[in-house]
Amino acid sequence: MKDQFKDDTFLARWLNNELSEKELAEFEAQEDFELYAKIAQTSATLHPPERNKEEGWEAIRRKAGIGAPTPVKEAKKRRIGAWWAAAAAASVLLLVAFWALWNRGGELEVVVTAVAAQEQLLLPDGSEVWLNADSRLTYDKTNFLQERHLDLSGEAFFKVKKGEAFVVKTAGGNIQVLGTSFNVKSRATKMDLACYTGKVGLSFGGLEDPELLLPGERLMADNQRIVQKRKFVAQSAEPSWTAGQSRFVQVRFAEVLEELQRQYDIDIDYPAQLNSIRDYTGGFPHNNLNSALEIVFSSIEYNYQLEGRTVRVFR
Amino acid sequence: MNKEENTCSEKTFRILYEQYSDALRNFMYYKSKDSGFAEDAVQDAYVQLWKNCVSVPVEKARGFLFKVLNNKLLDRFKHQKVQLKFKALPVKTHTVEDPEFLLEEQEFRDKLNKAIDSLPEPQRLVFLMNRIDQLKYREIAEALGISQKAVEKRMHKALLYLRAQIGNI
Repeated sequence: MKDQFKDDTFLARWLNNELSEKELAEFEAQEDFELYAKIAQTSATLHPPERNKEEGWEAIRRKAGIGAPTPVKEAKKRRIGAWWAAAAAASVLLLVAFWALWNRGGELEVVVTAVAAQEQLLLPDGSEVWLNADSRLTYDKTNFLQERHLDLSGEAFFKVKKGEAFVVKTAGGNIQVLGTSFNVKSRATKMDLACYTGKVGLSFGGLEDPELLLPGERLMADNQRIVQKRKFVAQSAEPSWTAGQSRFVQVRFAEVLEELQRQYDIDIDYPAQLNSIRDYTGGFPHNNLNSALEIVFSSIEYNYQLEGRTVRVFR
Repeated sequence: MNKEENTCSEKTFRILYEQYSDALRNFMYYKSKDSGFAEDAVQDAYVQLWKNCVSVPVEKARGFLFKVLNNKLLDRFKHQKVQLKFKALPVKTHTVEDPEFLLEEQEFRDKLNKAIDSLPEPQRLVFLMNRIDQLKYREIAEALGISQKAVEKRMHKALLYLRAQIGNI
């Protein structure tokens, strides 16, 4: 096994985004960089067998003798002597237990958007969600009003109705708000969170206090670590992608290319040196592939050629 | 949350369960390749934690759980060779990707699965705990009782190995 790397933890540091810009650029220019990136990416989407977390929890409670199994309300004391009252109370209890059991299972709502598709939806509590392309949102429809919890992978903009805690779980951390609007982009290990109104809290694994974001603040994190936090100027009350375009301020150019591929379902074949652009500002519309490509590539003075669903980029 | 706090409150205990139980189950699965055994072991470990809650502060809880699980593994007999089974994440429902692309993706996944399965165990553990469970190198080091540097070396080696395997097939 030949090892072209300069030390024996290089790849580990690469995965953890610890390489210097120079090291990274050199690695990205190497022939097998793509393959390493693909291994890293694909391995993060492997899933070991499913487990039923709730069942596990109940088993632990039973074995450890913690609390009552379910907080079923006790029926009022029955009057002695009236057997039918006892029967009625029993059946009420049974009904409550049945209802609780039924409810606890919940009904999972899964909304998935394909590449080049978006979805707008209304949650049971009246909160609104815009789901960007290639994203997935899961929540428990039946219990949503009791517990406003959602799982998200991908990008979404939320307008949250005021109320109890509203929690969005992503691979990049958990976001908790009361009533606000915010955008979250959680792709692979990266997370990009922007607060539009109200207050947003982001918490990572561990039990530390959440990181708070105020309106006009944006936070970028990777592998559950904050990379930077800065101000942004919102062009409108919603992020631009909900209005049919993508805008970027000081991002890696590769991120723009990823979004182009996601919005138009195309493959972009580009020279590795484009990875060295790390401070790109610009955008593109979602409804016209040719003008999107024109705008993006002319801004960096590159040419492109569109063949079927593949775009070849060259100088 | 108060750092001095022990794990005796049901709420704290529940949070610890929500936070760590998946990674713990997976850890046991990677080790034993037996998901039933893994699940039972994790439940037992949490019961142990509850019984010892007075003496385990919150920030030591994960270390405690991993220790219990490591002991369980030592107790267990060497098991038969079973292949680790991974499922790909459920793929988008209404895509229009071309079948050739999907086939290539599937082939790549299969190759990767095979390659991961043939990784030497120390590397496989580190690789999966980081990639799937997203544990940090420091956390993996703590769970396995080795240095962080050693974790990074294993990770580097694992990637070299996988790349070589996949390149050769």
